[in-house]
Amino acid sequence: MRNGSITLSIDSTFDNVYLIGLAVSRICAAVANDAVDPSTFELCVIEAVNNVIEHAYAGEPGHPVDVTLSIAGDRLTCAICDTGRTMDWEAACRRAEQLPEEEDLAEGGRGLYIMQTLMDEISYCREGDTNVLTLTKRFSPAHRR
Amino acid sequence: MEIEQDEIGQVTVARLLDQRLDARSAPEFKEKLASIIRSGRTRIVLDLAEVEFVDSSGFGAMISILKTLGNHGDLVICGVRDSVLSMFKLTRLDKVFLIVSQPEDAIGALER
Repeated sequence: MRNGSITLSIDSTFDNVYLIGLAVSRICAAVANDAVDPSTFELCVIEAVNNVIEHAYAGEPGHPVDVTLSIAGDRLTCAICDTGRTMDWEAACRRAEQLPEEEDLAEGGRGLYIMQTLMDEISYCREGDTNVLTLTKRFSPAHRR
Repeated sequence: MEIEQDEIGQVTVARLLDQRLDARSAPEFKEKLASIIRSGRTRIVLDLAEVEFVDSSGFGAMISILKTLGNHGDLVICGVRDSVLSMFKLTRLDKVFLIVSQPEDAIGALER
């Protein structure tokens, strides 16, 4: 079984995000052999990339969004990198602990909750001038192709 | 975002023809549904049978439609695939929207 990684780069517009989703989903399906649901992993990566475009870059095109998908041992990891505004991670996590109340009919505020619920690990840090959100899903190596 | 629109009595069936309702397509989807509501059609069936992927922007757009209707109309969703239904459940939006299996069930619910 091989380990490896690939980095996909898009410009910060929502028009490009589906390309990341398609690539992540296909790679996930190919390497994880049903141990990780490709559509679930795709959704989490897309939520993360959408957050970068909307919040780190305030919806402004012309900025890089780099997505590195790695497989190593029993871990499928996706690092979403941007050079925009750094998120207050602790505050965001506190907000994401609970979904918006159903009667509030809030239109947003579910992305991080989805990621936290569906991933095994999620972390966020600043490396130099780059913000890095890392999503991790573990699976049994026996499931690998 | 392509939407096929049928009018059956007082009910409008809006069938999404794209496979993805996401941050790219959500604004246009929202505007097209809002336009239907502005035209006076306020009993709406949203048929998601063709939709394979919905992200939180897509769910936000559906909530926006529900808010636009307010107390003046109703929205029923049908044709939801299992993968999308699991996201409705994960986000507990299955408690917010009336979701039925078939378009005729949705039309029936709105004609009552």
